Amino acid sequence: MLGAVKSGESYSALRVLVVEDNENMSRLLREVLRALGVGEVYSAASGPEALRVLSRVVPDVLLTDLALGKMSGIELTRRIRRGEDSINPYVPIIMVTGHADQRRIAEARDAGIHEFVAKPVSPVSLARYLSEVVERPRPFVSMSSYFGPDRRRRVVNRRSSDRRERSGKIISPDEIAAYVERLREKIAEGPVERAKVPPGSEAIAFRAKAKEGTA
Amino acid sequence: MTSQPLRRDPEGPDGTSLGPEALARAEALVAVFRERYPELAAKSLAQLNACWGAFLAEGENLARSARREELYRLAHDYKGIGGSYGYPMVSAIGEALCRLLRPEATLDAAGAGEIGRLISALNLIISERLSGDGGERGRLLMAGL
Repeated sequence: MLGAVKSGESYSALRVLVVEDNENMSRLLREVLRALGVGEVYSAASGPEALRVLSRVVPDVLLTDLALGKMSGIELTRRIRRGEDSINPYVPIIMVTGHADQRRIAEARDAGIHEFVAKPVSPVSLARYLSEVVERPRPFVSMSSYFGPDRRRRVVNRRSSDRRERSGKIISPDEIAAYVERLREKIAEGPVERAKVPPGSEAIAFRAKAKEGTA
Repeated sequence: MTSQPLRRDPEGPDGTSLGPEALARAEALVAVFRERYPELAAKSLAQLNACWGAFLAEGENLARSARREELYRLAHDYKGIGGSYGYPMVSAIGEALCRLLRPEATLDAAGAGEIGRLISALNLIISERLSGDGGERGRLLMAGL
């Protein structure tokens, strides 16, 4: 799905996972997403629950609160991006929070989020950030110090001196879309958990290579 | 790649490409939620009042009270949720409460008194359904805090 939505198209085929521990906020986000035309909306009330959902659903976007109790939205992002048990490290993550200070924004970006949305949330702001991640998918950067979306928003001519090229790996939106498609096929056969994935399977191998920058 | 065909909508406003119909639908929904907010907020407001009441009854030093964390958590929820539901004054009060209750803040008797006034104002805004700027009543209330 990701990468297939072009500017101006509706979101009826889109799947979004909302991770929010406050029921009122969760309900508002879910209903606004449905009103915007998002086809499938899933929810989780905590980080661990979100990880469980991710073993049986492959969302196109994950929307998470920052303050989520024991496992914060930033910790959840780290687990998704770099955790050994993460099966979909490329899912675009939009962080929604009332803690919009520079320190937390920097921490969230370093963890690998795509967008940071300050509460209060409006339909227009939600739609804008959703459009940004869905219609303009960014490549991923895999380096020893960072794994997440390329933080450069402009398309630049990469030179051989590009630090990312030299010390890491750029994973293109097409490669990510292919990985997600394979993951969807696998999940259609049943929930994918680390223990249930055969060692050396295509998904895990690709994931490991991506982490090492050799995919 | 996708299981369903994608319908093409016209370019939307404000940097989103979703059509104006989708945005209008979502805005209408928020208006419905705005109407329901006082009922939806009742449970957490009761928790906030109970927590604050228990603190007052115990006569503890709030700076050292275990209730400070719980009050902060509830205030933070109001800060984030109020405005999203069309109650920006609730968010403003939630933010003021968070500033007073944050762990690194020095909290004295005057600060505790201010917290009490803010919680009373929060109760008033929600019980009187003062959404938006609350009109003249809302402006007077906020000016008095």
